[in-house]
Amino acid sequence: MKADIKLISVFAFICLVCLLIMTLGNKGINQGTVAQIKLGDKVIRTINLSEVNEPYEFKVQTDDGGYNIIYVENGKIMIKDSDCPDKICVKQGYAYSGSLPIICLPHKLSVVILGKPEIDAVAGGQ
Amino acid sequence: MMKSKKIAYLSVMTCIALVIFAVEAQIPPLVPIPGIKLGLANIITLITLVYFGKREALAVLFVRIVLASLFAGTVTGFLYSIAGGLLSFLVMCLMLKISGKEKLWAVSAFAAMAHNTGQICVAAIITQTVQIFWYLPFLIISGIITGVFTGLCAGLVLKYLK
Repeated sequence: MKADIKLISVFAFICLVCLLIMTLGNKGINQGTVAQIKLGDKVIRTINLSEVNEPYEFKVQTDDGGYNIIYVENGKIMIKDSDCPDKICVKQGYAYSGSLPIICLPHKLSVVILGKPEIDAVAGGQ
Repeated sequence: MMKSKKIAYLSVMTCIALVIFAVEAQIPPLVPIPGIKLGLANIITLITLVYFGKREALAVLFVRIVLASLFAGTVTGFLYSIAGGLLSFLVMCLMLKISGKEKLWAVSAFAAMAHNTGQICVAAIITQTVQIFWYLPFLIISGIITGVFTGLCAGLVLKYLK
């Protein structure tokens, strides 16, 4: 019984640390307006989200013959559709400044918000 | 136990694990976070580990992952599973030594956390994205929940296997 309580408190502590990282960490991280779309280790597209006036979408052909349809709006980006089995990337919704990256594990595709605003010029527009 | 008898038993275990895996794959993901799942097939690994031993459990785990990836038909899926599977197996053996067979739920929870950590490391390498590690806290918490669940299940089954 004593060992149980010990173990439970260990797990509770780990959860607490995780919750702390979840709430504090995200705010300071991945701030920026540049979205980088990668397929494996190749960067296939870099979009400055603050310069998007008209929403648009485009299709990414993945290495395994599948596809992801990416939808871009001013300040945010999402995966609109995909033929991956779990469609978790679609359910993840928008990525924006300070949000978690969008990952499509089966397709090795990732959408990451990058950079401080000053590197926008280097990263380029759409 | 006779050698052929043992092989037969282990094949049945692998088969059960594969069926559980296939059934679980049909359950739609509950949360939109990559890598979170129940990991019910882990129940079989735990049972094999306690009932038969380390070598047997490793064999069942390995064959299950190889066959499951073949059925699912993705190479990347295999990489995620094998990294998570091997890491969780190591932790499982270690924790079983420390906390014993009675605390199977704790063994399983640590194993699930190790599984998710291993998986996320492979995902970070494959996608070349360090930011993936921001998902780690979510995966650790889910690992504790699903690990405790599968550990309790394995414990219940083992009670009747004696």
